[in-house]
Amino acid sequence: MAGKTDAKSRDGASKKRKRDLNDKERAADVKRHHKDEKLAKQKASKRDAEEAELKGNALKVLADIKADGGSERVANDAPGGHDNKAPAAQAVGWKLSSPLGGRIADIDPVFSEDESHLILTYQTSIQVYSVADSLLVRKIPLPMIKDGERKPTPLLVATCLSRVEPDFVWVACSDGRIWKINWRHGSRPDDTLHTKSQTALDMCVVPITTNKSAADVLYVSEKRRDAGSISAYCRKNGSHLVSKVLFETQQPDHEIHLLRSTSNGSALVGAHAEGLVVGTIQVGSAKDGLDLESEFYSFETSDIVCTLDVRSSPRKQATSTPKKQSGRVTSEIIDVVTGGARGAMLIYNDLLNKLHNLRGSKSKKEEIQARKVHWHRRAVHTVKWSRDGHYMISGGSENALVLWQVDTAKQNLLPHLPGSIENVTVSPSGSSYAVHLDDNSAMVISTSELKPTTYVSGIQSAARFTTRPKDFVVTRLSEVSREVRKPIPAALNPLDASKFYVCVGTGQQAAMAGSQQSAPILQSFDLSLFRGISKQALARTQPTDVNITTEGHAISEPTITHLAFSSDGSWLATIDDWKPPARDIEKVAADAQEHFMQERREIYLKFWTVSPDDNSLALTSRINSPHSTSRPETVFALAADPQSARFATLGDDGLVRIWHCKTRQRDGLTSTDAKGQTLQSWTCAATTALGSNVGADVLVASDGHPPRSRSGSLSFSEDGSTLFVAFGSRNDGTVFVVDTQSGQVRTTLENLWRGDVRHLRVLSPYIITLSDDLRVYDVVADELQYGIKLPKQEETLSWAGFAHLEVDRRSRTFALVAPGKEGSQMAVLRPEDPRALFMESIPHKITSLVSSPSSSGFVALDDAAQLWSVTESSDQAAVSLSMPLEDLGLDKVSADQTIAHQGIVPLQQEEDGEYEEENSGDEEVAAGDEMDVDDGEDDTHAAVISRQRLAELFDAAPAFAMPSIEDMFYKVTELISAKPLATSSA
Amino acid sequence: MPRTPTKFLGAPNNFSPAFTGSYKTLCSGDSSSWFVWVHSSITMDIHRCRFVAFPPCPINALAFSHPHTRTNLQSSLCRLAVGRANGDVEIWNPLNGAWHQETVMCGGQDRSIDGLVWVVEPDEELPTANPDAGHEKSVIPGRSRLFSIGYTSAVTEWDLEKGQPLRTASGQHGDIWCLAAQPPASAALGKGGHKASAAAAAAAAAAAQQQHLQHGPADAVTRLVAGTIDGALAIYTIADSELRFQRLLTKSPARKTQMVSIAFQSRDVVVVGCSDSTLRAYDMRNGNLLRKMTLGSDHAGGSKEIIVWSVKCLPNGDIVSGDSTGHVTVWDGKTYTQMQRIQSHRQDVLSLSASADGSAILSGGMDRRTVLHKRMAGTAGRWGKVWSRKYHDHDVKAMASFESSKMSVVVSGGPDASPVVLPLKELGRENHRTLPNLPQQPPLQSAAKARLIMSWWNQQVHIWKLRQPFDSLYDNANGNMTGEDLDKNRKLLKTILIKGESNIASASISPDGDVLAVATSTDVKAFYLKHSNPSKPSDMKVLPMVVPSAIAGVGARLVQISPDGAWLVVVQAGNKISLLRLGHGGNAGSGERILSRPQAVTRMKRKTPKNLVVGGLGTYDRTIVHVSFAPDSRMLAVADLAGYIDTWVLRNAVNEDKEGREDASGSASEESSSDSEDDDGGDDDGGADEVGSREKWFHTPASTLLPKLPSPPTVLSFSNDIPSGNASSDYTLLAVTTSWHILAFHPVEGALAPWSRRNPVARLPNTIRDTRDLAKGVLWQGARVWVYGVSFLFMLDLSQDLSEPNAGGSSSALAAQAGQKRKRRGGGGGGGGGESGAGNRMTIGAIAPAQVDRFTSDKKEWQLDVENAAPPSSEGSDTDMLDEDDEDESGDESNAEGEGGGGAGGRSAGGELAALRNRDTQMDGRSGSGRKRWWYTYKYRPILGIVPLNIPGEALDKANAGGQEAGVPPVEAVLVERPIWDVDLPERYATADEAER
Repeated sequence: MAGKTDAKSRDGASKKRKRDLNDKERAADVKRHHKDEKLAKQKASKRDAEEAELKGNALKVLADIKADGGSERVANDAPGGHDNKAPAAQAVGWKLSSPLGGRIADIDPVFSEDESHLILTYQTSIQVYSVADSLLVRKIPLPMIKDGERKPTPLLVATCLSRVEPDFVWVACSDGRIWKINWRHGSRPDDTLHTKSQTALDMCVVPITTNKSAADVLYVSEKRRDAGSISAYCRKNGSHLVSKVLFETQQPDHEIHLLRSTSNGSALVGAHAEGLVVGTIQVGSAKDGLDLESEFYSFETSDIVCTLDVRSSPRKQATSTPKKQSGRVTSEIIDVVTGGARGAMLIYNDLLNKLHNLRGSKSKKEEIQARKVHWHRRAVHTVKWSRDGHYMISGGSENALVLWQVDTAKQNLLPHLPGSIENVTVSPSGSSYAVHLDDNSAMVISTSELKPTTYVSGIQSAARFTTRPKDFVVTRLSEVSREVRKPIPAALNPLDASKFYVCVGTGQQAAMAGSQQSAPILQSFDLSLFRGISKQALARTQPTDVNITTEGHAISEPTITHLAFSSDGSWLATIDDWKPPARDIEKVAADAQEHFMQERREIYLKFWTVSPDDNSLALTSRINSPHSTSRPETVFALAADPQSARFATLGDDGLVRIWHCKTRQRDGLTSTDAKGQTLQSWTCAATTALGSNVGADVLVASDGHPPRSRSGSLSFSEDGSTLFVAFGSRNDGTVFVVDTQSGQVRTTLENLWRGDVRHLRVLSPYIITLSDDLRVYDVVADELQYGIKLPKQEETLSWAGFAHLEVDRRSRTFALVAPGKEGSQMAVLRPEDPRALFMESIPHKITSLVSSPSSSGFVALDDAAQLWSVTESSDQAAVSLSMPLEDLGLDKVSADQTIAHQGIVPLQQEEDGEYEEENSGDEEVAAGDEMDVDDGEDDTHAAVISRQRLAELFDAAPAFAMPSIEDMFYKVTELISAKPLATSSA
Repeated sequence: MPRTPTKFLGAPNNFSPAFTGSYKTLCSGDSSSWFVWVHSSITMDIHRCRFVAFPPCPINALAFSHPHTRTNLQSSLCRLAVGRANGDVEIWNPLNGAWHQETVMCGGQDRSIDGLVWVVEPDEELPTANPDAGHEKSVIPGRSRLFSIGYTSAVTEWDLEKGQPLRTASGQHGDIWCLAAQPPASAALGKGGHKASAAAAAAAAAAAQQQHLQHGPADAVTRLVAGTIDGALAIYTIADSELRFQRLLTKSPARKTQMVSIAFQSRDVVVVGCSDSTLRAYDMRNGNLLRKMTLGSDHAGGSKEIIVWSVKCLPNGDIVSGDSTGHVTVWDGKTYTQMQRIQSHRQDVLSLSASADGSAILSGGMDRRTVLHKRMAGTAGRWGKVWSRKYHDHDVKAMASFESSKMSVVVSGGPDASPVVLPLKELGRENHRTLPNLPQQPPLQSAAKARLIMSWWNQQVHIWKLRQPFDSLYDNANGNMTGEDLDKNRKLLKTILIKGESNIASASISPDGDVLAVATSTDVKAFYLKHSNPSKPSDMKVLPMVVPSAIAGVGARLVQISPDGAWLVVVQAGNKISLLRLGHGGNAGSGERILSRPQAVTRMKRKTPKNLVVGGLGTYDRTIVHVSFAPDSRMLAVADLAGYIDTWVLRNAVNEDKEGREDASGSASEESSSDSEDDDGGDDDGGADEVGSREKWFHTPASTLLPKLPSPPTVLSFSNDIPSGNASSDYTLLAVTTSWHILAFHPVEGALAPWSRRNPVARLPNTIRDTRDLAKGVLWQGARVWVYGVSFLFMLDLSQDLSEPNAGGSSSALAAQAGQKRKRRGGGGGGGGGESGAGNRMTIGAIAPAQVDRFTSDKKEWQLDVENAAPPSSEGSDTDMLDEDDEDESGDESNAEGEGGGGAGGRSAGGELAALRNRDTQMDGRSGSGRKRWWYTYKYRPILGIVPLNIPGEALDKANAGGQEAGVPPVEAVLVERPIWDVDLPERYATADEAER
């Protein structure tokens, strides 16, 4: 310590020289880091300003990670971006996977024609799921970001199945590109169209037969400078693109945001901000060009149309009297249903006929009078006609699917769905509904029993809204936050690194609305299968209630702030926090406000038993306000002892508490539960005061200074004997070293952090702190190893919370995430060496970063609900993300290819492939491309092999002690096939 | 004339500063019962009161005399009868959307009206002398008769002209629960909206022989059928203007079955909704049960049997029923099988109504909703729920539809007492309108000198004292007045219960507060209130007075005591007007009062087409509805529903006999002035028994010159002007009509006052003309007249002309800014034609578009508003779809209707809000130059009545000192509000799932 103070007094010139030297070194070291003159100058000036704070030789400023990342490489959402990357990352050995997961876009799910597959549109890809077993068949990434462009990422706006070639889907992107994708085979778009205006708002696909050959015609609504328009596009003769503008709106702001057509394409219905556009399209006879004649009617609706569906049915002759037939009667009945932003649904029966008749004689004239039904409290998110037209299916933010029987006006509900309903699609045969829910899941529900048959559940963590939620199209009392406001607690199971736990809210909108981001639910997610396994509420939730107050404010649920597994994975500790919204106390007298808030504040520390069988959680103990002074105090940090079942918490009251479990006793006897299991409860084992045990409010009062927020973090040493606690007000920089046995503060280390400390991690003998900068400190040597400056984030303080630090004890590395302006920078370093092993920028905000003691590498979750893994290529124990079935080549099961015929060979090869990969430890799994080696082997069974299972099998014993090859073979085949392979073994 | 606030009262702490310029609150109270407000800039002190507990009475029955009219004559004769739970029957005139409550026929104790049936005899065409001359054929409209039931075993017929029950009949059966009139035989021809199906028509033809046995015109309605609580159908014959029980048509085998609702499918088939989950169709000829249609059992958890609360038959013979499970069921009229069962309501369906062409069904239920069903296009005649909304605060118990060439409305009512007018054809495109539940004639009067307020309802008279004038209240408080001061300021002095069965029709109190006259339909009572400046109930003694037997035994519709307390006018049933002198008793010291023998005065004969008198409503339109005394009590004016005004003057009997006969009408003004001079002395000495004989009431000679009012009067009042004696001065008699003609007369001259000549209705500010609610009364403040209705308070200065019509543009611009609806009205009342009699066009939430545009891809051009093919320049949004049925109205009717129909935001939700929001700006906007010509506020609602109080001397002086420049005497008034939320409505049977938030 004394040495450091000496260092401070050194003159600046020598320091500067030293650092300049360091700069040069660094420039040589870090190849990717191209700096232009200007940046260097800026940096130099910055450094001058911060000179005083730098402490001697120990602090080596390695790199300024720039927020804008202008010259940095940016990891692309699509793996296409990887192609042109410099191979530098691979050379280092650490590698960022392509992102997996993401949120399902607000686009109707598409059924394949035979209803065997469900095609979901994610924000950057198309994913094909098998309806039979809910598994991902194929992920088709879309080149969302054009090369060399850094504009706001375009969004996908529509996905339509081709009517002519059912193996293809058309996918429209908001920048006007429309891809034709073979969802059965291709992973790259087969065809790309560009709309004339370079925009697309919605699209529908209709087959049109000209010259006896059917072709898909795309009706695309576009936004032009002077008007919204509907255009038709068609590939003539396979290559020549013809187009025709069918409709232009009167007002420029009336662009058509919704466009639907009848199945035969005779009528088009579009919605703009103030009304509906209904048109008929007739195919002309001209040989060349796109000969379409159209007639459009436009009229206003009383509400903003959020969703619409159109249905055509043949007109029954019996219903029309001879008198009517003399007039112009459309051969079809076009029924349109619209869902409004205020919750009303309007049904227009026989709309086209009425519109035609408007111009006719008075006797036939019928008013365009809609029928209005109103059940939804907020916007109708989706509404669809059933195939027979007897029902309407609608969904909104009430978490209930509403089935309207048209004839009797009866209404049936399928309530208590896990999230608000975003999209509903009726299957081609009408036997099932595909429902896309707000919590990033989709299910297929059979119409007869209303039971889900397929469930696709992605990561449900809060993500930023890419578009305005429909509920908030009209002004509401409470707004929904578009950005993720807080980092999301997450964890990997310490025993099984494929189990990822993340705190989620009840649906995306529920999580994002309200005064605080709510996340009362823990989702467990299987990374190897890449699907959600279960959800469990860890704090109070309102699953059945409407999540708004009587005044219309969103109710926020408690949010889980910290989450930690014990080292053996059998315990989970969580902290949840809830603050009453500020609006509640507006009416309270000023002096009572503070008291009122304190009284209602809820902070709980909960200990959960993790069931060894299914990883389900059971609450063991709940500690109310684990840290409190005169009021409940915020808990800053929670850490698990890496050696034993102990947890430590740090609160704003300046206390560190260590919690341990003990057997519950009654009258001296061990109490047991019904099954005879010993009951245990968690209590505080030791309390250590760091300074005075006072709340932050008292501090303020006593000092008379403006309020200074305190921050803290803590971590156990690897052997669990010591607890390192960073705690203090801004720029305090103190780290306390606490003996976990005695609860004594052994030493205090000064100047280890600056600003607010966010994370402290121990990688013995180093402690790493992340605050406004990153510092690595060697405890044994008592010297600062090095430090790294994080980019300045002066404009948004909220961003600062998204800096992450995580250590990987296996590989003895740590990962650092620094938020930038448009994304995050991620780096992996060794504590000994300031040169990054790996550095990459990710175009999203990283909301959590985790690692597991059972495997190496890191998993990051971003605010688009995508997972990224950072692993060392040569490490076979690295955490891994799964791949779609297609990449395993397992999706092509067909009845005519019997297992007997082709069974053994591909399986053998498959096994070999796995085996090889395991042995070589090739880290290409996540990238997914390498697995596609055997294109011919499409005919294997649709099963999933967990990598861990295979590892268990093959790593069971050294090679000489392995069982016979035959035994191994059967074991592997057992894994692959669900049913016993009698035929193949014979 | 610049006008500054005469009193600037300190801004109250909880009132926004924006309001301080125009009026102040002295006390905000706790919204409970007692408010005081001052309009300082226009110098009227208003005591805003909510303590008068006028109870609104639930509506049990609604019926239109002509549900579907085909001629203008029929439209003009159509009336709506509203039956209430206290036995009152109100007669409303739709008046093309003005909705005027014309008369109230008072019920009595333990009486209620639970069903109303109009029977309208067929019109008869008279051969005219020269049919080719292009004259309209003279038609004797069919007589309209009104029958009612009241959950007893009796049927009552009402005499509209007298406002009394005419006759009652009952038979040997249980309580009648439903009543219907058998349609006439010629109904198949399309009369009366009961077009029978082909099969039914055949059946009707078969029964034609039976018809010949009946008396009267071949197609008159001759029978009423009543369904009873014990499952019987009883036939009452009404032929020959009588009403008697004929026989029981059928008796239900199961006595528990109650007949709840009834409708005729054709002349011979009656469909009865029962309480045992069935509808039964009976043959009227022999009482055979044709078919029993069952509804099955109720949902699990409900009662076992479904009650069919309402049944209606459509013109095509189909039957519609509404039941206790909330379903509306449509039955095939030929096979009597169920066609469609629609879950329209969450709770019981209580009422049904159908359009005349059978294309729309409305249902109202216990869930407060009103649901519109229509046939869906493109389906085989299936019905669909089109629109539903909660218009009522309570059950929707009764419903009646009315369609004419201009109107298409449904009126619904229930325990929340307010009839709601819904557009029928235009539901979902036009707003509804809630008619006031408060009577058109305010049941409120003040004894201004004694600072007493008298109000009455049912059989009670309440007398309140407002002790302190406004200024003293304010001075006491010095800005921090508490509610207690205000609470102490009022005192309920007396509650007088009138013995007898009938409810009070009218009451009057003398300005000194010493005489109270009360009229019921059977009796007239007078009381002497002995008090002197009472402050607690014991200070006042009530002594009955002897009423001459000629008056007492007969009952009356109106009573009124003259401003000097010397005369009592009694208008009896049959429009007999009697005047009684209120003399002092034998010993003047006791102050006792006695009544003299009545002097009957007669009205002028008016020419009415004979055919109208014979048929239709008879002389109902000559019913006197307004009585007014001149401020010096020397002139009396009455007005009837037809708009005729009669006036009488008080003269020395001897002189008058001579002069009255000799004088030409030209010298009337001189005469009256001399009269008043003569009689000045005579009034004051009082006491003399012979006063009555010395002074008599005579027709004002110029009375005949007063024109017939263009539409029914809603207000008739003398101004405070007393002729000063010079030739030019005269009384001013103000009449306000349903179409907002504000007419001031000089009754002695028999001429319109110059102000009225200069300011016809077209010059009135748009705000006033667009007001749909009718005026209920006026208050005078010098030349200023304060006109109030249920939701508004207008001030007009009759000493100044209203602004030029073009200058009115500014106010209309303001109005347009205030509520979008006004904009829609376009060129001043043009939009009125498009409305169908209820509210105005919807702007938010309409389910039909106002305009449809067309675009063709080959021409690439827009064709705007294809329906009306309007020129493209019109730019659309303001052009309403005009009703194609709209006809030009004739004469001043059109003028009146066009302007009067509009909506000031009136009752509809959007407009109301808009009006409230923009109220301040409007006020600020108009407070422009000089003394206000007119002023308005919608702040107070609903207003039961406003009555003046006298300002005591010292307050008057003070006010004069401050406000002398205005030349406007101060007025202190009591404004009584009766908001519906303050009223205890009956319990609702709300179910658990109905969250009221």
